[in-house]
Formats: sequence, structure tokens, C-alpha cells
Amino acid sequence: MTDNIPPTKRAAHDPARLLASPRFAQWLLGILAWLALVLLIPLVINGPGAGEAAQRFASVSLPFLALYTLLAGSLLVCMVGRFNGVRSRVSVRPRPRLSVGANSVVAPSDFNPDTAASVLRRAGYRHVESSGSWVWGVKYRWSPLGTLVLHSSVLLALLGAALAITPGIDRMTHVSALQGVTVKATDDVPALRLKSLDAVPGEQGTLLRLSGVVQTATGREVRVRPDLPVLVDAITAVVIEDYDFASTFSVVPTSALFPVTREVKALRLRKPGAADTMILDAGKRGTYRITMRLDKANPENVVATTERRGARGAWRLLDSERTFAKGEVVTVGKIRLRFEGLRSYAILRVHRAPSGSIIALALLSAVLGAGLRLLLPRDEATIANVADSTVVTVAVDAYKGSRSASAKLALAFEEATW
Amino acid sequence: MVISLAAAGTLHIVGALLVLVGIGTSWVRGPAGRWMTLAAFAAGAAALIAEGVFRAVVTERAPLVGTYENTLVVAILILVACSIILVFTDPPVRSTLTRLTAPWAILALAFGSRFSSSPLLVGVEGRGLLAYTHAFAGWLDFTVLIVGTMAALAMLLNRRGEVSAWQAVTTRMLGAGFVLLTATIASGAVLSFAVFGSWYQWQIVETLSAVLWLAYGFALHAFLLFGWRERRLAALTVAVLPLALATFWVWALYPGTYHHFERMLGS
Repeated sequence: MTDNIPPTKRAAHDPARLLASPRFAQWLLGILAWLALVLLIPLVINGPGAGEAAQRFASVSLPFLALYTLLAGSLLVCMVGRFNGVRSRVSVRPRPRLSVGANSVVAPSDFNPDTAASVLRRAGYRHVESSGSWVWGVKYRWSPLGTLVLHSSVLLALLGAALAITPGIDRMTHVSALQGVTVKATDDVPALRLKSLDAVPGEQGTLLRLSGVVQTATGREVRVRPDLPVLVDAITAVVIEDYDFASTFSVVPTSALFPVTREVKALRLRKPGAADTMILDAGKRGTYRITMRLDKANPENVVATTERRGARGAWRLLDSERTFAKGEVVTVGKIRLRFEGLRSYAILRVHRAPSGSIIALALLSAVLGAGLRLLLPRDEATIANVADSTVVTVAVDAYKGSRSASAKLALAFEEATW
Repeated sequence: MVISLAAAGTLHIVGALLVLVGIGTSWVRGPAGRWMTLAAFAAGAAALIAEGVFRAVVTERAPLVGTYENTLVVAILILVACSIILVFTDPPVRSTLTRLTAPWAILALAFGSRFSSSPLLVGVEGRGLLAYTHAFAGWLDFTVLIVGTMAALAMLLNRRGEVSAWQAVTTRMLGAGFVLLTATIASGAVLSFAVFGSWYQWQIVETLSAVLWLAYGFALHAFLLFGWRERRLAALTVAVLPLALATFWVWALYPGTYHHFERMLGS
């Protein structure tokens, strides 16, 4: 039966040919675009909360996964099918245009191959070849490769997204890194030490400047920023999210029988009016709760309320709204508390994400590929002697010729001749 | 600060008036009309740039936060584009493309004036080079796409000039616009990863950007592979314009996105 199907119809039903068709890929992208627009409707009606459900549906639902798989297959087959064509288009084998086309301009001067070759070189044509009756040159010869790079970026993005939605591959953790202290959030996250911190707070809790220098286990120092993920190894990116203060309090012993009890706690105190609490366990001398905020008059001091845990677990107020200066020892209830000061720490977000490197590569490839193909299109110029006339033809690959470029080159040829 | 912002507001009005003068003189025939238009656009752009510099000095950040400042940047870029058209293109394309493109600067300024001109507070994530690159690439892209779409519109309206000349402008602007859109989306994705820990979020701006990328990708494929030319290509380019406008400006009107920074006047 299949032998009776006309060739064109058989081609349409051949899955391999269908996948190799750019029209089919365009249809798939069109369907994807329409589905994306349809999935925006609940977002617009129900607000941002509906976005997560839509994103989940577009990421892991079977119809979408099938569409992405089909699209990846189609792109791959299309790219393989066009590889030889692209390879031949980056070659420097001369292809002079020896007829007068729509983009050709006739120069009044007589043809001279040496002059024509020097004109082409001066116009930026890297590879110039000549024969007795024509001179041919090409620039931006690698531009057709941009097509492959750009389309590869879509495949890379799909691969990265597939990895990102697979459970257990990507991980994200938050780390509070006290200056000078090495921290390691989980086993698979590299150890980091915050070496320095540069922060300038703005109004209403915003930040005007924030950056820090972290040192990895190998001793390498990298500057972490809030607006750009920085790689500390091949698959681990670090972002500095915020900074805050850690408070150190100690219970000063009243006799040699008791050791000093010291507690350091990372707190959220930076934002105006923010208060946070630390628990100080002094063993037999009791457990204390200190709720504090930064002193407006002197941000190196804190204003604290101290409570002691009673026998039944209830907190009993010892002292309210007392200002503690750095190094000051204050008697609270039956103990002596020393405030040893505040130290800043950075809140680092650490992404252990193999997908991240792939997606970053995809984004870079997309920009480079599109730029190479569309901003620097392969440009071939021919200056030829056609029927005793000097004909200048410029063919710009992506934009199908350029009469104005031919005219400019013809003018340059005229000037060089005279 | 108040005095600086008042002076900046005056420059805004002066800039808008000069743009209107330029649009008027673009209808004057001959070299005189061309040079008068160029002078008006250059002066208008200078006034608006001075306003942007004032705001940058006062706020200690680039004037790229909120609708008012972004419309200011768009108006400047459109005036620069019109000046380039006036200087570098040939006569039939020059006058028509200028007349079609320049009113977008006024539209941008008029839209921006519906929003508060008070400088908006922005955190450190909105002050970095990447955030500025993302925003500026986006507005440069918008300008390039507007020029390309206006050339397509001129082709559709069958205005003076060779069709091939209009098509050359349209396709080159589509090409450059696609590259800039890719760069805008890529820089936005990196910024989103840095700030929110996610390369992509199902939000209105991101999703419309992805759809717009596919739409312009289709237009380029239609030209490069499927042989779409002249009026057919022009119709497709013009048809994508509403989607482009929605993508580039929806954040100013729709509050349910982290791209939204402020409220309209009177709301």
C-alpha cells in the first residue's frame, strides 16, 4: 500500500522527514506560544499565586513534556540536517557572482583586479581571491555557525530545565557566614569563609551597597554580589542576599566554681525597628532569654529585655529595655551579663545546581549565536568584468543582498581607480 | 533635592515641546526641514538627557526605575534613532520613517506623565550593572523594534520609496531587535536567579517575553527560510506589535509582578 502513496504524501507521513522540517518545528513553537498565553489567563484573573500552579503544569505535565521532547527532537534533527550546509557556507572557496543581479551596481571605470583586491581588503574583506576577470572577498565567514549555536542554546535550555525539575539534582541552601569563621551548610556544599563585608544600608531597610569576599577551601577568594551569581566551583553558585548582626553575650561567673558561659547568635536586627531573641543557657544558673534591638543613638549598642525561665517553663521578666554598651557588665537578677558586642555576618545563598551551568551556557550561546548570525552576517563581495563593464555585487547572507553596500563599494572602486 | 527635581521637571516639558517642534518640521520639505528636525530632536534629546542626569545625581542610581524614568529613557532612545535615520538614510525612507517613529517619543512621555515622577526606592539588587544592562538592553530593543515595525507599516501603506529599501530596514531591525531581545531575556534570567534563586518564573513579563521571542523568531524564519517578503512580511511584523507593546509595558499597569514598581497618579 505504501508504495502507491505519491512521494510528497509519503514524505509528509515519514516521521523522520517531519522532524527534519523547519515548518514542523515552527508549528510546535507556535503551539507552545499559544499554550503559554492561555496559561497566563489564570495568572491575570487570580493574581501571582496562580503563577506557581501554571509553572508546575508547564514544567511537569505530560502534554508539555511531550511537546518539549518533540521540539528537542525536531531541533536536533533540523540541526543535523543542516550541518553540512552550514559547513559549506563558512568555507572560503570563491563563489563570485558573474552576472548583473538586483543588488549589482555597475562602476564606470575599467576593471582592474589589483585595484579591486585592494578596495576589498580596505573594506574589511578578510579573504580575497582573484582571477583575471573577477575579484571575490568574504568577511564574517563564521556567521552561519551562529545558527547552530543559537539553536543549540534552545536544546541546552531544555536540558537544563529538565535537570532543574528532576528531584534531588539541584539544591539551594542559605548560610549565615560570620566574618572570619568557616561555614559548611551541608556535606555537598563547599566550605566558605567570609573574609570581608562591605555594606551600606539605605532607607526603610533597603541596601545601597552590599558585597563580600569569600574564601573557598582551596584558598581562592571571590567577591560575592547580590545581583550576580558567582561560581565558587564548576556547579556551585553563591549570591550574597543580605547582611545582619550576630550578638555575643556571656554570663560572668561570680565564683571560680562556675565557668564563663558565652553564646553567639546570628540575629535579624539590621532593619529599622527589628528585634530578635537569643537564648543563653547558663547551666545550673538558669536559662535566659534576651530580646534585643539596635540602639538608635549608637548602633554598636543594643537595647535588651532579659527574662529567666522559671521552674514551670514560664519566662519571668528580669530587666526591661536596658541599653547594653560593648564590654559592659550588667547585673540582671542574680547573674552578671556581659555584652561582648555585635559582629556582622552575611546571608549567603548557595546553589549546588548542575542545571545552572547548563542554563547559563544556554543563555550565553543564545546571545552569541543570535549576535553572530544576525549582527555580523556573512558578507561576500564580487568585483567582476562582465561584458566589458565593471560590476560590483555585495551579497549579505542573512539579509539577501545589499544594493547600498554594492553602491558604496563601487564608489570606493571609483575613488581608488582615479 | 526638591530644587533639582523641579529643574528636571522643567527640562522634561522643554524636551517634550522640542520633540513636538521636530515632528512638525519633519513635514517641511527639503534640506531645511531635515536640518530643523534634526536640530529640534537633538535639543529635545539633550534636555531629556539632562533631566536623566539630574535624577541620577539625586538618586545615586541610573534613571531606570519606575515608569516615569523608563519612558524618559525610551523617549531619548527614539530621538537618537530618529536622528540616525535623518543623517544616514536616503530621502524616501528618511522623511516617512522619521514621521512614523518620532511620535512614539511623545507617546512614551505622555504615558510616563500618568505616573508619579518622585524617585522610587530601589534595593541593591536593582542598582547593579546587570540590572541596568537588563533594563537598557530592553529599551534599546524596544526602540529598534519600533523602527523596524514602522518601516513595515510604511511598506504596508505603500509609501514612497523602493519596497526593497523598506524591507532592508525592516529585516535588519528585526535581526538586531531579536539579538537585543535575547540579551534582555538572558540578563533578566541571570538577575532573576541572583535575586530569587530561579532562572524563570511564570510571571506575566517573563512569559510574554518568551512568547515575543518566539514570535520574532518566527518572523525571522519566515523571511530567511520560508520566503516571506514585502507586504506579507510587513503584515506579520505589524501584527506582532501589540504583543511587543504588552510585553514591554504590562509591568507598569499590572501590579501582580515584581517588575511593577509604583502606582499611577490618582490611584
